[in-house]
Amino acid sequence: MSFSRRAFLQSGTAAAAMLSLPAVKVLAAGTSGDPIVIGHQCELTGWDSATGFWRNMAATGMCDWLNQNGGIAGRPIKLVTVDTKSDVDTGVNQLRKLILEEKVDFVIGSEISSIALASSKVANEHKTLYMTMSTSEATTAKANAVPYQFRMNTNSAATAAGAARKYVDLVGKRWTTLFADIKWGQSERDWWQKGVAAAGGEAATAVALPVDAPDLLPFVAQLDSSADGIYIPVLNALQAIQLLRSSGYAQKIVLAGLSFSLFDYRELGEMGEGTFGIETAPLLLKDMASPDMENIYKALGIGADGIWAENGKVVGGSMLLGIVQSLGFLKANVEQSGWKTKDDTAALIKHAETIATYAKGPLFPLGDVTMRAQDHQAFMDIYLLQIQGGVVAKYAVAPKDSTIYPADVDLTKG
Amino acid sequence: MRDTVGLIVSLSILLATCLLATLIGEFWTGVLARCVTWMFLAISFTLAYSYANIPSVAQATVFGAGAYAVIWAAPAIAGNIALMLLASMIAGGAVALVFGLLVLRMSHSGAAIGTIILAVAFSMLGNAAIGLTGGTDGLPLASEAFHLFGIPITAGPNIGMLLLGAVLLAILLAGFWYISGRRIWRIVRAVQQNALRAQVLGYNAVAYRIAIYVISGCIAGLGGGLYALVSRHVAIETIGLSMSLKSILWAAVGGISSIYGGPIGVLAIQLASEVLLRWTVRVDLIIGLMLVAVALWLPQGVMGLRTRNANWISTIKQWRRT
Repeated sequence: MSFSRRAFLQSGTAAAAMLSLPAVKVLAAGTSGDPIVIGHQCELTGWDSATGFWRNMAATGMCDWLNQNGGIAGRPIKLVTVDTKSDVDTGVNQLRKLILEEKVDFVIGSEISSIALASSKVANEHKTLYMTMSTSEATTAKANAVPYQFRMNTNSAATAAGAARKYVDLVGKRWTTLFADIKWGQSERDWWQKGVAAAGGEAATAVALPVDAPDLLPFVAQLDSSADGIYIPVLNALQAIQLLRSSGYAQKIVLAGLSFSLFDYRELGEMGEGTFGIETAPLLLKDMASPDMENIYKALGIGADGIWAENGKVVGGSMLLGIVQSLGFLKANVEQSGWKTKDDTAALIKHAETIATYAKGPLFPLGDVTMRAQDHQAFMDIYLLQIQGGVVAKYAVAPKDSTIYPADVDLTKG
Repeated sequence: MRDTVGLIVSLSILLATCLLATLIGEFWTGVLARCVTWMFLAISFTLAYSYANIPSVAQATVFGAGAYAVIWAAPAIAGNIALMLLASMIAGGAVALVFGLLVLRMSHSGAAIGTIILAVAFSMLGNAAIGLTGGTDGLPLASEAFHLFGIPITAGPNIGMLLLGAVLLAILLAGFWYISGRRIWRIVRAVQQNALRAQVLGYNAVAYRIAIYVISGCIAGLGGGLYALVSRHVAIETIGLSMSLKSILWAAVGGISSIYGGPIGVLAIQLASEVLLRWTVRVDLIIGLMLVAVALWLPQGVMGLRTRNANWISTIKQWRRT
C-alpha cells in the first residue's frame, strides 16, 4: 500500500471511478464517491480526557492524511467524533447517536473499560463494527466477546505475558501492585500476577485503589515495602509515582500498559528517573527505525523527540498507534473484502477472520501485527520504555509472539 | 388544593413526548425514554424537598438502589417486569426509610449536609463492593425474555420502554392530583408548613414526613428500575452525587414547589444538553449559565410562570380599572 498521491492517481480504478461518477461528492484530493463514515467515541472531557486528547488528535490527523492519500478504497473518509465525557451513560448514548443519527459505517470505540463493555453490545446489536480502544482484556473475553468487536491494540493479558518475564529477570522476583479498582486495573493485576508467577517470581500484595479516592496515601502505605518492584496500573499514575518516591519507596516502578499516555512524563522531574513503562510504541523516532512512523509524525506535526509542536506536550504514542492500526485494519479489510455498504460488514468480519497477519507498512508502522481470529485480538511487539536522563527511551522489546496468551472464546464458530 | 392546570400541562407534555417519539427516529426515542426515567427522580426530589421538608441530595442513591434491584432481580424472576419494578420500588423505599430516619431530626440545612454525606458514603461503598455493584464498570442487565403480565417487552432505549415509563408516570401524576384534593394531603401540607403546629394539633409530624420521604424513595426507586431496563447497564456513577445534583437542577428548572414541574425540567435540560453536544463539549458550562439565569429571573421555575402571568394579568386589569 502506498500513500503517494501520485501513485494513487496512477491507479486505473480511481481514475475510472472519478470519470464515471462526475456528480459524486469529492471530499479530498484523490478520492471520490460517498464517504465512508467512521465514528469516534472519544473521551474529549472528563477524567480520561488526557488520553482522549491524543486519540482525537491522532484520529483527526490520520483521517485527513488518509483523505489526502487516496482515502479507503478510493472513497473519502468522514470522521464524526463524539464526547463520552468519560461517563458510561453519556458514552453509550453518544454511540447510539453515531449509529442511529450519523449512520456511521464503523466505530473507533472508547478507551474506558466500562464504556467499552456497555458499548460493544450496543454496536453488536446494530451490526456496526466496533474497534475497541480499551486495553482491558476482560472487555473482549468470555461473555463480553462479540463478533462485531475487534481490538487492534494490545491488552492487559498480552502486555503481562510479554513483559512480566523481562521485568522479573531485570528487577527482581518479588512484586507488589497498586491497581485501579476497575475492570482495566483488575485485569492488569490478574494478568501481571500470572505473568510474574510464570516467570518464577512472586506477586505479593495487590492494593486496590478506588478511582474516586481523594487521597492516595492510605493505599500507597499498604504496599509491600520489601518487594523488589512495584507494578502500577492506575489512572493517576503521576501522583502515584510522586507519592511513592516522597514516601520513601525506592523500588523500581513499572507503569502498566500505555500509562505514559496519561501524563507528560517530564512533570515527574527527577522523581521519574528510572521509571519503566509498557507501551506499544516508543516515543523517540530513533527508537523506532520506522520510515512509516516518521511519515506519521511529520503528518501530525510531531517532532522526532515525540513532542507535539502545537502544544509542546509529549505525545501519547500508544494511543496514536492504536488509532493508526485500527484505521489500517479498516482500510485493509474494506479494500480486500470489497465492502461497499454497512450491509457488507458481516462479510468484512468473516474476511478479517481469515487474515492472520497485517504486514508492516504505512498503517502498521512498527512491524507485522498478528490477528487472532478466535477473539479478534491483535498481537504486536511490546516496548519496555524507561525514563533515562530525563527522556523516555526504549529499554527492550518483547516480541509479539511472547505476548500471545490462550484465547477463551472462539468467535469464528458463531 | 388540586393543581388541575399543572396536571394537564404535565400530561400533555408526556403525551407530546410519546407522539414525538413515533416521528423522530430510534435515537431520539431512546433519549426520551431515558428522560422519562429521570422524571421520576426529579419528582421524587420535589416531593422530598417540598413536602417532606428534607432537601435530599441523596435521591440518586435511592434511584440507584432501584436500578440495582432490577439488575439483581432480573435473572431470579425470569424477566417479569412487574415484579422487577416492584422490587425497585421496595429497594428505593427501604433506602429512603433508612436515610429519612437518619436525617429527620436534623435542621433543614443539616439534613442537606447529612444527605450529601450519605450520598458520598454510599457511592464509596458501591465502589468498594465491586462484586455486588460492578463498581465503576457497572453491571449489565441479564438477557431475559422480558414481559409485563405476559406481554413481551424488549428492554432497551425503545418506544416500548418509553410508553411503559410514560404510562406509569401519568398514573403517578394523576394519583398525586387525586390525593392532593383529599384531607390527608391538607395534613401533609400543614406538617410541611409548620411541623410544630401540626404536632400540637395532634398530628404525628414525624410519621407524616417519613411516610412522604419513603414514598419519594419508592418513586425514585421505580425510576431507577425503569432506567436499568432502558439502559441495560448500571454503573456506580448512577448513584453518585452528580446525579443527585442533576435531579435538583431538573426540579429547579421545572419548578421546585410543583411535582408537575419535574418532567418539564428534565426535558428542558436534557434535550438542550443533547442538542448543544453537537456543537460543543462545554455543555455543562452552558447549562450552568442557563441555570444561573433561571435562578435569577425564574426562581419558581417554569411552573412559576403561571403565577407570574396571573399576577401580570391582574395588575393590568387593575390598571385599566383605575
